[in-house]
Amino acid sequence: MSHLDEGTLTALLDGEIPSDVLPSITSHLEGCAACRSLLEELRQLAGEADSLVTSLGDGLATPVGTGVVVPNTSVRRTGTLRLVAWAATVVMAAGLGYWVGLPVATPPQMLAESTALPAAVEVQENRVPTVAELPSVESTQPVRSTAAAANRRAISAAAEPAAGAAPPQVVAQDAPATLGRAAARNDLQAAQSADASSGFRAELASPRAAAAPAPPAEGLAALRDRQEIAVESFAPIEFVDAVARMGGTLRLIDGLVPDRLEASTATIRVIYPLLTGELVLEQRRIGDSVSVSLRGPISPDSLAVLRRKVR
Amino acid sequence: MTEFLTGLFAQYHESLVRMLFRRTGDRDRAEDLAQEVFARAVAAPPRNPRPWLFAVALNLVREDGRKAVRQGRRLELYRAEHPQHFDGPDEGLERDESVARVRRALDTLVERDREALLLKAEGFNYDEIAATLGLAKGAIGTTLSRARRRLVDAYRQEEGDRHVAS
Repeated sequence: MSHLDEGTLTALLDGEIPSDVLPSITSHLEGCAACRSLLEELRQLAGEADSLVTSLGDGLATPVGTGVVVPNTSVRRTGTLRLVAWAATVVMAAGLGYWVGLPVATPPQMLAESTALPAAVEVQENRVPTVAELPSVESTQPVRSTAAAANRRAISAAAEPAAGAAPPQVVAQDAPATLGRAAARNDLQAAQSADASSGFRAELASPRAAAAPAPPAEGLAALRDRQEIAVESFAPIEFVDAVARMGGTLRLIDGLVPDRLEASTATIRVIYPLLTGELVLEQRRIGDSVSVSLRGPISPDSLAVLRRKVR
Repeated sequence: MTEFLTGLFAQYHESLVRMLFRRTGDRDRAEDLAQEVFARAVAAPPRNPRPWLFAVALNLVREDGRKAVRQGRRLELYRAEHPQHFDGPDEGLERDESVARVRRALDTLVERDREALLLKAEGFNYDEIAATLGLAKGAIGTTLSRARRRLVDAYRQEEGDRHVAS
């Protein structure tokens, strides 16, 4: 097999490779150091490019890198005012349209697209429960953070830097500015998510969200799961191996740049740096389904918004 | 209809303004363009709203950009990009310069690459980027790869020029 092209590797990083094609790609990567090297280069480029785009800001004058994610009431008020202004625009536009007897001008190409586009875009071939629909294991955080910190210390002391799975200490020593920038960027993204939460709030409180299936494993089973998780031992894992372990689909938080990946016998962790700590996206395969949880040192509102960005 | 459009606004307005702000560097202009996009959605309610709204927005930016070039307004846009902030003067100046360098780097990209990057930053998947930009889904990986590489290279060039100048 010839080498993988950059477009394919970029699609792999973005989680856009169809599951039926993925095995041949991961198989090639396992045996091709050149492609693995290119994949790592593209991963770094993606992180840096995303960071640059995010640094342009959002037009809402959010201070960069505050590390504090709270619902922004002033933004909501502004949104209400904009809604009123927009409603006025709508009324005026519709009125003018009726008065002139012509529809408001829309580029012909877009009119064609508006009718040609599918009603919904299906990303996932094998539908699994979304993160919002799955039980959270956030309550295990105190136990797990202690165990995870011990694991990370042991792993960092023993592990060599590996492509796509560099231990945090290595990154911090070699490129503190890069890590700080990634953390600041992730914090900013998280903050933007919190700002955007006013837009999502209605949906989060919708009957669909309320009707999400109750966690099947509450009670003793849930306690048992948490106990198992608490004693799991995690070690660094490469991106390609993590994808393979998850059966071809590794969930990531859209718009955030992971710092590293870790794996235990049953669970994969994708870890994102924040200025205030780490955001941990955990996923494990249980039969044909995937259990996903997200935790980190940010508000429940922000976590809820970020859960919706897991792809 | 009103409920549909209100929901559309609540769901996409912030993301649309953010993308437009990053594209134009002008918050007021981003707001104005977003208002225009939603006004057009009244006339032709889209079936697949997100790609539709962002495609119309990017079309408007292109049209407006052509007018702006004719009217020599680009310098004003750069001047207007400085956001309000709460840093001290040195930190604020440094960040403004950094943002200006990123914007200049972004401006070196071809339109399609730049738009693909901005849409990806808004959480668009490849299907949505393809629908918005009128590209084949299979071309999105290559487009994003090229765009990221060029942006980073151009930014590093900007950084290099700054160090040489100082």
